[in-house]
Amino acid sequence: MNGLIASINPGLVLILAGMIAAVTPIQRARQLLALIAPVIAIVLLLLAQRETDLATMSMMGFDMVFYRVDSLSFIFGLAFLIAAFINAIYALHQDSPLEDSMGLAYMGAAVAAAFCGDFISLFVFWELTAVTSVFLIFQSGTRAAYKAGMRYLGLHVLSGVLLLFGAMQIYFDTGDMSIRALELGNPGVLLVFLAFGIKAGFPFLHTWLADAYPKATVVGTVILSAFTTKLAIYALARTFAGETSLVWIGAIMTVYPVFFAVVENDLRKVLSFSLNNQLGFMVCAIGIGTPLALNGAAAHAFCHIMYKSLLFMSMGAVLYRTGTAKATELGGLFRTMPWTTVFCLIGAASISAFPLFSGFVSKSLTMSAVAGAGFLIPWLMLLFASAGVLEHSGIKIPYFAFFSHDSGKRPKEAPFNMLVAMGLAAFICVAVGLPAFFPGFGFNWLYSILPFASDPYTMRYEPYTGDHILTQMQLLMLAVFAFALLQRLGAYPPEKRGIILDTDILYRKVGYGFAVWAGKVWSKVGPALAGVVGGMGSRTFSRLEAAFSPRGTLASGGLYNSMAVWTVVLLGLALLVAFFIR
Amino acid sequence: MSDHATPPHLSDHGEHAVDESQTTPAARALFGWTTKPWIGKAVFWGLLAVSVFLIALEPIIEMMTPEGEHFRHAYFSIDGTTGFNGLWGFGAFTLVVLAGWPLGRLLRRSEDYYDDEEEPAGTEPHP
Repeated sequence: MNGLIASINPGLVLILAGMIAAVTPIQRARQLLALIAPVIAIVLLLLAQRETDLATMSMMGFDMVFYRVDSLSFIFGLAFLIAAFINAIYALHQDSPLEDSMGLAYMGAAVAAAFCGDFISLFVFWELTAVTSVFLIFQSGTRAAYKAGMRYLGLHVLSGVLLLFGAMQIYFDTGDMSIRALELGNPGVLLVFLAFGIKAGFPFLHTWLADAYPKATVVGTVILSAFTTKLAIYALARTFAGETSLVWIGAIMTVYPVFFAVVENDLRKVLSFSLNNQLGFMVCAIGIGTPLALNGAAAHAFCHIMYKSLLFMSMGAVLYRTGTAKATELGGLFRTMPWTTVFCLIGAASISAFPLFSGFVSKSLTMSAVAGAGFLIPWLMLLFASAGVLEHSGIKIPYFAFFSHDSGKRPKEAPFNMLVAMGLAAFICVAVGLPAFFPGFGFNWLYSILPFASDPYTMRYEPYTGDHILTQMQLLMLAVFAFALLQRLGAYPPEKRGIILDTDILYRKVGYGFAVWAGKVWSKVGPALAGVVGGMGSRTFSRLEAAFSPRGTLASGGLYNSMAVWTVVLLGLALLVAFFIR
Repeated sequence: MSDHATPPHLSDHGEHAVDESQTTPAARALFGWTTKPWIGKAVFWGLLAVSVFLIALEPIIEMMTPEGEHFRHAYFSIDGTTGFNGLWGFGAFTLVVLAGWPLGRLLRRSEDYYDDEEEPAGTEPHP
């Protein structure tokens, strides 16, 4: 293969396609681009030589590695690119240049980041995922989406800054910028850990996820669900495998979203909590750090990208057709959306890890690895969370949207392209979950592309043993029976309108209240002070007021120019601080 | 929080006939059974039967496995007990769902709690 082509990071293909899409006015041309780019990228990835630095550059004394493929980055990159292709099909019904181009650039940035070999280039693509993806949230056009988008951007830019700080610190300590296994202890490493933690949705750093994802556009949420968090999982697997604290962090991550999900009314928000819960399984496996556990994390990430996209796509179709994704407004939709219902049920069965579906073969690896390492309490927590997943994603989502009380809504079936995209994702969910009737079939294929495919435990690992199937079916069927029993007794909490408080109340109410109070104080003190310092204070204040107050320029919504500027300013400031602080 | 927030179809206890005139043939074939009046009972008893069967199956298979071998592969002592996964699943599910009552009271606020939450700006995204 030509040397130049061989050195192109597949993510750059998508980013380039995104840049071209931004200036392509013809809808179909743009969409063709979105369909072809992932295919080209997959071909490039399959042809790439493994374990070699394929593209390197030396800048300001740093050795940067732009493109390096190994078995860990391969499976994440492949899953990202398959998701990118499915998302392109899912978006075919709409004509939205901004969403198409930003979506492509975002997906490309995530893919490119997965193949970076050093922290500087990782940082560049890490930030690029943040500034491109936020437009998928803004594009909803609501004030709520704008505000949530800004909160999302704030946290993600912070994550990037922490990553850069941490990487610099590591560089000054060791003189090595390459991405490698790190040990907690050094403050630089801790910053990198925190940066990854924000994107991976660690407890207390998780609020952006359930805040922003449900407010993005129909297509935007599907795109968002696949990339950002799984990129963080990849980065954690690469750098912090075997870090025991992750076992506990992961176990906690699997448990608490379950409780939020049960009382949440917005079904896309329920899915966001469920996403957070699934990340916990992967984080926990990374904490174990054995080859079997890392295989479990990678397999789970692959399957999760597929079934979570599928679930978000089905809820997106419901939102697209009915204008709402709230459980209280929905019910009985199977009557006119039977195929969406079927696909949603396949996604639900996959995430609940029913035998014959993808979640079963991937979650088994993690569960066995955690139990095999002797972590009883985390293992029990994961088992608890498995029943919890069944509750909110396996039952609540399909039941309240498509069955339950008839809402009287009779929307049309989802657009054909959405059905095709859902069908593709559903196909992967089933195909990957089937038993290996012959070598290379079903779960065997998935296991063959895992990072440690030749690990003896994984080679011998057989998810479809009588023991596994029976215990898993016991867990699931008795949980489903509990649902039937509680429904019958009337003990199942009714769906109610309302929002559920999360820890983000700290900055959305308490912090905001403090800012308002400080503003009021300033409006009194400011002018007085201004008299002393020659009116500077009040001018600054009125400028700030004009820009940032609820009546100000930036809050007026729909002004994408000012948002873009605001975004760049934030990022630029962060960069300046990071570079010149030392 | 209060009842005025409950849409009419959620306080409807089945006394109103459901309009099936627009139900597609595919939907009827695939999911028509879910609307049958006896379905609630059938699912309940069916699930109970399956649950009992799955728990009972475990000691039966264990008895049939040859001497010296174990059907169950337990990592700890607790997970080797008969029907452990089933009981854990049942307990976990029940706990999560019942926790929904106090949690809802504690954490649920009206949709405009954060002033900006549901306020539309500009054009509505969904025609």
